[in-house]
Amino acid sequence: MGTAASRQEPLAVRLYSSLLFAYPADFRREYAREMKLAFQDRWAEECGHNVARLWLQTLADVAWSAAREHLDQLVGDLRHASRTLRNEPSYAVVSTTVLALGIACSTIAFTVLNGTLLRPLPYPEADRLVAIDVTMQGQNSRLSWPEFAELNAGAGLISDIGGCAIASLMFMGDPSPEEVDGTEVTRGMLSLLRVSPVLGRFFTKQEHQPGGDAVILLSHALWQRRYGGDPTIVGKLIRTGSRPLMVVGVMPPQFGFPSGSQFWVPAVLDKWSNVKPTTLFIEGYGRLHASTSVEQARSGIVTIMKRTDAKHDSTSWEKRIDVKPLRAQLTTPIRSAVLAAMGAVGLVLLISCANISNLLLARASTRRRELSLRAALGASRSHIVRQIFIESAVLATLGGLAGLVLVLTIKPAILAIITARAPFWVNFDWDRRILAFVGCVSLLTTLLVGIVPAMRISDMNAIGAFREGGKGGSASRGTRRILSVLVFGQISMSVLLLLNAGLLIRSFLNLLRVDVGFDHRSVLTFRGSFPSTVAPSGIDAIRKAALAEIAGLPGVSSAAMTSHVPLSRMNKLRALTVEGRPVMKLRDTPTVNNIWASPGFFRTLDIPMVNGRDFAWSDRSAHIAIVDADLAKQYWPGQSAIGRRIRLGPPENNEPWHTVVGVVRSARMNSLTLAERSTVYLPITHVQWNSAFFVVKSATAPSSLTSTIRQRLDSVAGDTAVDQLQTMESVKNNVVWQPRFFTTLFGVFAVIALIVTAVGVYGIISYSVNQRTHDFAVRVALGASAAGLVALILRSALALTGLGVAAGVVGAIATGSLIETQLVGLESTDTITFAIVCGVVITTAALTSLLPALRASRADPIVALKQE
Amino acid sequence: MHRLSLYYAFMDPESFLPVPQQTLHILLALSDGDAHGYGIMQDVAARTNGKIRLSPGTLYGAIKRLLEEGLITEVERRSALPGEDERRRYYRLTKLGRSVALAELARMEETLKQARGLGLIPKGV
Repeated sequence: MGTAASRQEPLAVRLYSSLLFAYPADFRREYAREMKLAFQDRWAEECGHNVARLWLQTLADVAWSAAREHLDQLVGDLRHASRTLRNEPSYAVVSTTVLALGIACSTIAFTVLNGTLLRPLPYPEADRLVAIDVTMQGQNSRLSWPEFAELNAGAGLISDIGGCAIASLMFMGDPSPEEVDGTEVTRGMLSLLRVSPVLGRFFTKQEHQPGGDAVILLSHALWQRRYGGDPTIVGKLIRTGSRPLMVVGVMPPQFGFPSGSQFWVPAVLDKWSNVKPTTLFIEGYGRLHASTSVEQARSGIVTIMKRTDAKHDSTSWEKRIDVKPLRAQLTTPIRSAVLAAMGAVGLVLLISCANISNLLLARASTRRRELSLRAALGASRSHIVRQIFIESAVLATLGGLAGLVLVLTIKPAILAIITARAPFWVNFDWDRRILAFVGCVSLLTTLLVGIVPAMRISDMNAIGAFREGGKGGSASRGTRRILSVLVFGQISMSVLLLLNAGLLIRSFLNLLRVDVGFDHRSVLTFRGSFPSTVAPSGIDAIRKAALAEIAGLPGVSSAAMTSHVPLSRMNKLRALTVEGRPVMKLRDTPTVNNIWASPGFFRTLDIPMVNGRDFAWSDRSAHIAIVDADLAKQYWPGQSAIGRRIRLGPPENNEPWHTVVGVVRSARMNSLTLAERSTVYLPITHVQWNSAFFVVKSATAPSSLTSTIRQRLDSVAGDTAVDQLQTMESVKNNVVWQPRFFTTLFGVFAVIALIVTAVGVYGIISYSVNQRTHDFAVRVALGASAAGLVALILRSALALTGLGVAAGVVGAIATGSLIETQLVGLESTDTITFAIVCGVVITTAALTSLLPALRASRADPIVALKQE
Repeated sequence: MHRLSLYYAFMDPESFLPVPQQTLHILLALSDGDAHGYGIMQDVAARTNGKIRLSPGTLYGAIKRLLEEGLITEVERRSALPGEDERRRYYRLTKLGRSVALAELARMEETLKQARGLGLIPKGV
């Protein structure tokens, strides 16, 4: 129909023609002309009357019948795709498995991302909650009382301010005494979270006053565990080490603000104000006014803190104080690791899609006879392209379903590892975000898998060449090029993943090999809490007797006590003043780890005494100290440190001078990963705490010692709580669980990527060999040896692999800065790691290429030529 | 694309029952002889006194399915009669199509007989 003819048509018919674009292209091609003619006749018949009714009927007809035609076509395509996959079960199974792996890995990684970084915190309007983030000398720290008091008084932009401080109580009675960690909270701290107790109430104003009622709020888990979920617990008195406390309420399940707290007691601000102004012990939180942004709150807080610093100049540590959304503060330690894991999983998914795309494309070109027949019978380009996409959609759906089954099977096991150590607010339950993610990933997979083969097939020249059965012709070469590009992409992404995984693995191994400077292999540790009936004046005798009992246990060679478990990052940091050196402002004073230790501590941990002596029980309150070798070398190089004097704490506090009586080898007492400070040890006889950590050198497994230890300690002091019993090896493992977990995850992803890529390399070499059967047959007929043929095939495979490896290496070098900070003991361009990974990939590619190469070398050239 | 109808010549007409109402009317319209699309539309409208007016989308969707099932076939282009457009496509009822139409009418007759037997409709209607 020419343009002139269409101009003669009534406008109504032209409008109707445009409506016909609602129909599928094939249907339109077949029937549009007839439909237009039919409409034209009807318009001519009914024109002038019932025009509105005609158009209404026509629009309804187009809407209904076009939808039906599209549905018919979809059903037909789905049937065709299913038939195709049923006829090639191995292809369907391989593709579904590869996609399922990619989708399952992505879903699990997204579940972790969702549960940690995306899901709202379990508090109403959680986006208005902020934390006062304090950093001192690169480490997380807390506020001092003067700082908190100023905040509480003047933070106008934050509607509610609350403070928390660590508390610890010994719960007496059945089943056994137990030392439990909890929190002192200021008035309104818990209510600003807008979470109400499930039983009882919050604290009253009176209970926050000096002399107020002794009350406690229990966590749901503690209430269940120690009190059997007693519904009448509110109002009852419970026995603790210090005094009986009345339970006023129970918090909801999973509530453990701020860090897995098991109970809450009211903070008395008068008592807090008596704490030394340099002691950092308060965590601050707040809820913003509806109209206040975090930036506004931040600038307000900074102004207040500057005022505080000016007022308390000499007693201010050098700190950075910030206001952060609560979620950001909670997730900062894990954010980069989770995002990196998501990135790695994204690569695995891309590799899987490229792999299936390869398979589809290779299959499409081997189905050229079918395609050319269909093209000859009138199937349009768009029809064939649509069927490619439908086939990839079916594969993606099957892969998605299989991936979901895989996720349901392995997710609990993987998440159990994280959940055991994850903060209380993390939630990995299914939600609509995860389901939407699975849907989107399947859709994306459909597109990624189908787009390259669809574009290739949609090239009419290709179909034309298919019609001519152009094996080894330009269509075949074009397809081989695209397949090569896809495999190149897979290899380079795999190399990138493997390099990152390799660097993380070596870094983790370096971390494990860090010399902690003490024996952690045959040492146990536990927390022992004596009852409050033990008077401070008698505590040393109890400690000595307790250690003697523990040291007398079978298999135990030595026992001691300490204020902090090594490597637990709980060490107290204190300012150090050295006699004879200038006294500085607090913010400029160096800091050291301060540990209290009993006699025998160094012997138990195999920390050699370099000079001087160990503590003795007879030292009692003598002002003595033991320092480590690094500190001695720093302040008294080339001289003996024995007899020198040091002072701990802010200079203006006028703490007593301590005389150095011993020097021990330096050890990592605080952390495996952070830059370690020097350590000053003070005798445990200086402090009269009822609770301390025991370190015990023993060859016996800890689980078999728990009840024995409790019995021995009960025999000394009665009703002693024993908890946190573990080996020092386990303490060290706990410290590294996060790098261990993410290293393992990356490792698994990298191995999956390598396997999928190996399948891809095998696929393209097989395809290439099939396409060149004639070529190889001629070579063999002309005298080429089998070895020569194998070498020829391997050379082309290794050339492609080499390019992919080079691209992967360049990518890893370019992105190396992203993981540089996570690495311990090596750089992101570590030569050994790069060499190992490149070697593994090249060897894998060579081995997977060998099979089709050997097959080609063994084929009978006469048979091959006849088949052609 | 039309399937070869030879295959369908051996199919059982009963397997197509029940036939949708609009499809039956198309078969009836073609029982008199070949017709093009608009001709079928007019015939159906006239026979049902305007109660059933097939629109082009519905008609050609049904024609497509009838062609695929082998109940109708497209005939060779014939020279146009006066007043007819020779570019139009004409359709013819196949043997199978006729059998299916008859089978459907027989089914409807049987249903009518049962309704008369139950007294739902008077005998003789």
